[in-house]
Amino acid sequence: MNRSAKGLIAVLCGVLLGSSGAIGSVAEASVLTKLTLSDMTGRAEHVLVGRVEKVDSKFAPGYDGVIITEVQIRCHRSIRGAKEGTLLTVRHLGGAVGELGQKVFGEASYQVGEEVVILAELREGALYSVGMAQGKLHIDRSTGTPRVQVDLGGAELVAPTGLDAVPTAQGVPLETLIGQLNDLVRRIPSPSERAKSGQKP
Amino acid sequence: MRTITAFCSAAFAGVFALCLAPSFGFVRSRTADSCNPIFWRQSCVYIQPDNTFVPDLAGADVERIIQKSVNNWMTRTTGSFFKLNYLPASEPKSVTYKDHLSVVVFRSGTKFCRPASDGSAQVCYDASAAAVTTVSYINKKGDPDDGLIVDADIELNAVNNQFVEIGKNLPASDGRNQTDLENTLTHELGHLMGLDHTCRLSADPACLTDDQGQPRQTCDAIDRGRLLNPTYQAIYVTSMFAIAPQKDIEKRTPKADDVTGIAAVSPIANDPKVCEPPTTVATGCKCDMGNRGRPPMSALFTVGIAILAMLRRRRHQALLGQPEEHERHALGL
Repeated sequence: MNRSAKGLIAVLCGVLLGSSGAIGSVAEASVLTKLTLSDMTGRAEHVLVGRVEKVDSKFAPGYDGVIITEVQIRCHRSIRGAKEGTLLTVRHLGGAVGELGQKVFGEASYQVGEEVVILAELREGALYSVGMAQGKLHIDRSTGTPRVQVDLGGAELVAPTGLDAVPTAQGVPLETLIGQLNDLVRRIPSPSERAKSGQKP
Repeated sequence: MRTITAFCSAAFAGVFALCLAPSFGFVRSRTADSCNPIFWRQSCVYIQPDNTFVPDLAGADVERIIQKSVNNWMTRTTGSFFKLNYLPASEPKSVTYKDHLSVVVFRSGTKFCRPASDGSAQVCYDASAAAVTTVSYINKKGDPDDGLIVDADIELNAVNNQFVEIGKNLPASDGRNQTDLENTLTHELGHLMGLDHTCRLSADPACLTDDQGQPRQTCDAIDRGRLLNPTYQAIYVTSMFAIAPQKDIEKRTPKADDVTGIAAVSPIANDPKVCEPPTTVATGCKCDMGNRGRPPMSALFTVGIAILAMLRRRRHQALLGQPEEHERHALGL
């Protein structure tokens, strides 16, 4: 194959990829900003593995038009904040009270009994999962090894834990994620820790 | 040379297939309890912005962009009876499900919050959301009204986003994300009409599937896999994809999936031919149609209006012997 033929192929490939809109996967986002694990760790006061024990929707105090849902999660493994065995209440907007339902798009849904990894931040005195549904990671045990659907792209600077860190269709092993989160928690302080040390929260 | 020809043919065939990728993946929003799809019963909804707008853009530009976003859907969703009717801004608007008016409000300041009012505390949203759409519906499992939408409002996050028009002269960046307003609003209007995201950010209930009965794929997996997977690429470019690159304008144009979704929510054959303006706009009063602790009253009010309008139309038709114009723009605005 001569040089001009190779050049033609290169140009064609460029045109084809460009025209398909396939170039340029940017992490920043407009509709919902894609948060990396590092981003979420920097916003989280609590990072833990737990099980959902109760899901309860009600009207927000003072409002008769805004529904919030409080989710009680028993901490089984603490990574930051909440102690093991304690009950953490995480709130999300939307839910159903009586015959009124409210849907707030982008919020996570929770099922009683569900196992989750939660990264929770404090807003107006209540805890919310960071980045709406992004900070709630469902643990799937259907393949034997517990796995989590998560993008580890934001944790590329973290030292390898020795476990498979490549996401698959089934997600990454829970232990891999916990290893990454432990490393991130050591490196990135929580907002309250930053406030205490005089850094910008 | 034969190798090059074969390579080019294969490459073009791939791109051709990508362009003709079949419609996959629109997802209807569903109720919390029964997981039934939510829907509008009336033929239209009225949309009105809060007249305080946002410092980033002139009010006239905001109004023009909202109307353009409305038209992005209305010019394509010809298979649906549902219409978005724009009302010019006239006064400050509060967000409540009780007014049956879809308001568009910018939130500025230091936090992305719905402000305190009438003695109530403020409610704050996640900083990573460019906008939040809240859809209120009847949640009554087993009832024909289960899933009936009674209101939908859009709040835009101007705290973390500098809303701009991509393609025009951009202002100097001030540290916030520069976000295309039309792109964001077109996406949010899809929610308002009854569509959910075409990808998931976390685990879904088992009942939440796309139009093919398939569970939603994660947004990350679609983003990662779209270069080699035409179906993923088709989902990625939908207006209802949950995540977009900064300065994205892809969502301005609803795709086949999005348009098919709206036709599924409100098929033209089922047009109720009722399009009443919200009472608060028609009368100028902010009547409290709800009842604390008994939210369905407002929904019953809506249904009542619809029934009265249908009875009135039938009487009118009987008297005149001809059909009445199906949409009444009673406001004259």
